[in-house]
Formats: sequence, C-alpha cells, structure tokens
Amino acid sequence: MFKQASLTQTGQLDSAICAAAEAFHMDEQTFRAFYDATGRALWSYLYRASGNAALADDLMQESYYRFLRVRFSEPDPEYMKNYLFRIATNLLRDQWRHTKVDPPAPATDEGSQLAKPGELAPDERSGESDVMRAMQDLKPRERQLLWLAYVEGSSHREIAQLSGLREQSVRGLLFRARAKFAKLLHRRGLAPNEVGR
Amino acid sequence: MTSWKPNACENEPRVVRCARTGFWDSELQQHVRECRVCAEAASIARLLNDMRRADDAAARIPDSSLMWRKAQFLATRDASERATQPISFVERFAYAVASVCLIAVCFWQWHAIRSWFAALGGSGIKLGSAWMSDAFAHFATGIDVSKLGTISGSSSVVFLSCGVGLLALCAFVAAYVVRAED
Repeated sequence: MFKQASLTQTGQLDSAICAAAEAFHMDEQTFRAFYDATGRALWSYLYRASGNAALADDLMQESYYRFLRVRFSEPDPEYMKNYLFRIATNLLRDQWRHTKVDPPAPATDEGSQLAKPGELAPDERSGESDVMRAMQDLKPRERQLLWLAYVEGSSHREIAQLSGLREQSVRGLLFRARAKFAKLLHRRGLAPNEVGR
Repeated sequence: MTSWKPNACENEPRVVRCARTGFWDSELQQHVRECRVCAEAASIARLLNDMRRADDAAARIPDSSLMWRKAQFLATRDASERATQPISFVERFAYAVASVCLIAVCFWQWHAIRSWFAALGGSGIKLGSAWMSDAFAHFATGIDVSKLGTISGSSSVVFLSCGVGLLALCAFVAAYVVRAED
C-alpha cells in the first residue's frame, strides 16, 4: 500500500515537474543568455528604486519566474526586457502598497540602508554616499522614474507603460523628480550642471 | 535649440543618451552649456549611471543556472499546489462540515446531553468522593470528604459548562486547522 502510495506520489511529482517545464516559454540556454543580459540591470533598478538589497533579490527572483511563465508571440529581446521591467515595477508597486511607507534613511545614516553587509557599501565608493543619501530622500516613485529615464533610457511612453501612469503624468512627475533630486544634490554640495562642459 | 518651455527641451533624450554612453558630440556639448534643462538632465544621468556601473561591479546576483533552477522549483511547487488544490478544498470542507454537524447535534440532542452530563456528574462525584475517602483514610488525614457529595446537585451545571466549553474548544481547533490549511 505504501509502495503504491509512493508510486502515485512520484507520478504526481513527475507530472508536476513536466507541467512546470512546459509552463516556461523559453529553454534554459535562451533564459541564461537573457538573464546574463538583463540580470544586473534589473537588480540595480530594483535595488535603487526600493532602497533594499534583500528586497531587490526577492523581487528579482519573482520577476524572472513570472516572466518565464509569460508566452510571447514574438521573441523580441527589447520587448521582453521591457516586459520584465514591467513585471518588476508591478511587484515594486505591490510591495509599496503592502508596506504603505518607504521610510527615507536618516540624514546621519550615510546611506547604509541601501547596502547589504559587505556589499555595495556606499562609503567604500568615492563620492557616492552623498548621491545615495540624496536618492534616499526621494520618494520611491521618483527614484523609479529617474532610474528608468536616465539609466535605462526609457522614453516617457515606455515609462508610462511600465508604471501604469499616463504619459503626460510621467512627463510632469519626471520633471519634478529631477528638479527635486538636483536640489538635494545642490544641498549636499554636488553641482548638477557641470557635465558635458 | 532650447525649447521655450522652462521644463522641457527637445534635445533632452539625445543628451541623456550621450550621458549614458559617455560619447558627446561638440554640438550637443555646446547646447548643454547653454540649456539649463539639458545640463541638469546630463548631470543627473551621469550620476545615476555611475551608480549603475558601481552596482555592476559590486553586486553579486545569482548565477543564471541557479536562477533557472529556482524558477523550476517554484513552478514545480505551484504545479503541485494546483494539483492538490481539490484535495485541500475537500479537506477544508470536511472540517467545516464536521464542525457544523457537531454543533448541530449538540443543539438537537441538548436535553439528552444535559441529562447525560447530570447523571455522569452525580455518579462521578460519588465515585470520586468514595475514592478520595479511601485515599485519605489510607493516609490517615482524618478529613471527611464524603461531604463533597453534597455539591453533586450543583456540579451537573459545572459539568455541563465543561462540556459546552469542550465543544467550543473543538470548534475552535477545527477552525484553526481550516485556517492553517490556508
């Protein structure tokens, strides 16, 4: 009887594994190539937008898992990357809804809330701690918009699609976020108008 | 080339692209010197991209094969959960039905249960007091515990309350099990 039960359970597990493998739209090689191309960018986005390395790890795992379950009609890498970021953005938004608040780091904190122990410690990087503290003084949504626009190079339309906002709203919010960030940088003695000269 | 709007410039996307890549053409550099919006955008893009490069250098993200295996594990777990969902549902349903039946039987046979508890209470007290008398007599304490039998009339209420409490406890445990399954 036990043998029968275990055989049945094994059969169920096998069928579950088969179902799991079929649930993914890409094979392992394709996924690995895609992950290698997008993993760091996604982690960096999640980390900088959320301000929490452990949360970024969790959300990245969940983002890729959800991404693998989506069936794309055409395997366009740029579209897939945007889709991945959209999933991550939705997860971030859910996280903010659950936690309600994302407390900014205290001014004396040297930006350490953004760093894992032994990893990405801002003080170990020259001149970055001030920028990180200025980032932490922004709202999560502002950090997200700035990162998408100025690091990922997303257009207003793409950001609107990612964040669920209207394109016009993105334009206004992005302008305000940029102005606020520039002001915060100024306050910390970092002149934001010297690039390109 | 500067836009008349104070908060927008048509060159901003190009400026941001150049700031991201680090390759500037002289015309755009000249524009950035004159346009406050583009200068600010370029500066912020440079700072943020420096952070991104620092992340690239320092962040330890999981290996792609590990990420693939984790995703497979999650998919297997989800598939298993989906496969066992009907069983879980039936289990929860059974717990709920059992709880409801128990409570319904208690209400339906209330008089029988009450009289049973009363009878059990009286005989129980008598048996208990007899046993205790023997026990105390054995240890020669001299306490007359046979007087405990006088409380047997009121003890039926106590036993009844205990029974109801027990039933309530059963219902609570059943509800807890159902909740824990969720």
